[in-house]
Amino acid sequence: MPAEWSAEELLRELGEALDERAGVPAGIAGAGRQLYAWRTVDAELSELVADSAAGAAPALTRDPGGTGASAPAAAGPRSLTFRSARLTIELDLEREPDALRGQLRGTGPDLPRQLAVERVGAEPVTVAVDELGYFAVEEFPLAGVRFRLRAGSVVTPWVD
Amino acid sequence: MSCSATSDPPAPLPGTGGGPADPTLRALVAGAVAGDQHAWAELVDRFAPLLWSVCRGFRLSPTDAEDVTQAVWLRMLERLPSLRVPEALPGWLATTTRRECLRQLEATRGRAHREAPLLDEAVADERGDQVDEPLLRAERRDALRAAYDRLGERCRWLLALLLRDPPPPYAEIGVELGMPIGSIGPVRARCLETLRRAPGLAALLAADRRPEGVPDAGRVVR
Repeated sequence: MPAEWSAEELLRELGEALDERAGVPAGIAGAGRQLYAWRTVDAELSELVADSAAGAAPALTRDPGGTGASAPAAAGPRSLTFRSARLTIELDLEREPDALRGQLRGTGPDLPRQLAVERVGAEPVTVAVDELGYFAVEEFPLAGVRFRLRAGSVVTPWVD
Repeated sequence: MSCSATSDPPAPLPGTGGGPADPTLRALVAGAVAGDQHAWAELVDRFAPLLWSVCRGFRLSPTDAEDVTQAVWLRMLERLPSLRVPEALPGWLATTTRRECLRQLEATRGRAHREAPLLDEAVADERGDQVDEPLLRAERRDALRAAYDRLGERCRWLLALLLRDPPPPYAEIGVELGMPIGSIGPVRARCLETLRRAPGLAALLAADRRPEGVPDAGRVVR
């Protein structure tokens, strides 16, 4: 049976907890509050179904190369696949310099011809998609981005 | 002091949301999903210390910590609509923040260290044997803050006074709270007991007192 926390221990721990709160840099909550503008309201959130940089991490807490579980080779692009009801988005992310290549594949007749790349705090960049669904962006910073298809109203989770 | 005949229920794993319902948290999550910006702001304010404390465990600079927390807030925003058990949010945030911290460390240390067992280093920085302890502590303190905020004003005031360094003498506390000196001790005990029984906290307090030798270290590593 686990021992009980004594009143003294509990009070001391409460003191630590409240000190922790008092010491949080203002920027942490401030930035978090502003992110509400990035809420995805009416777009369908596509599901990440494959990530070459992740081991067998669960989808909710994808862990690209972080814990050393099958760390990706430094060379070669990272491949990601997102799936929504009507579309599959395949992405190759290359590093040094950052570049992005990908293909949209849809089940319907019309593929969206534009893809928006969004970054927090920056204007989105619109990328043309050719008739076969291919698109490419050279020299694009790939930290903390997501991809939105305005026509199909689909957005990917954030990729970093 | 000692608790009378409370039969200890088996402690649910922290982060699984197995504890009692937390109505405040449920309301905030529901509000944020429905478009209430204030509910979102309250969620952020509540969990900012949790995220910050995990980042501090990895000795991240404030700038790196801001990058990490931004990524975590974004994931939280993205995932709130599909969150079935709001009580699981603190544990999920702690785990997600740790992952983002590890990624950030790897990014700032560069590829030369890619082969190095980064997680092992980071864990050694923390406590060595108890891999989960920093996350447990972060969750426990989050639950403590939430419970404290729900206490009545008199309790909050009294506990805040007692937590001053050094704590004022009872005579002074009595004057400040308009309370006879003789009742300060019992009120203090009652306030702490209310705190202890707050939703979500009891399980975390129990989880911290696992018997020695429970093989949970290493669970996270591989």
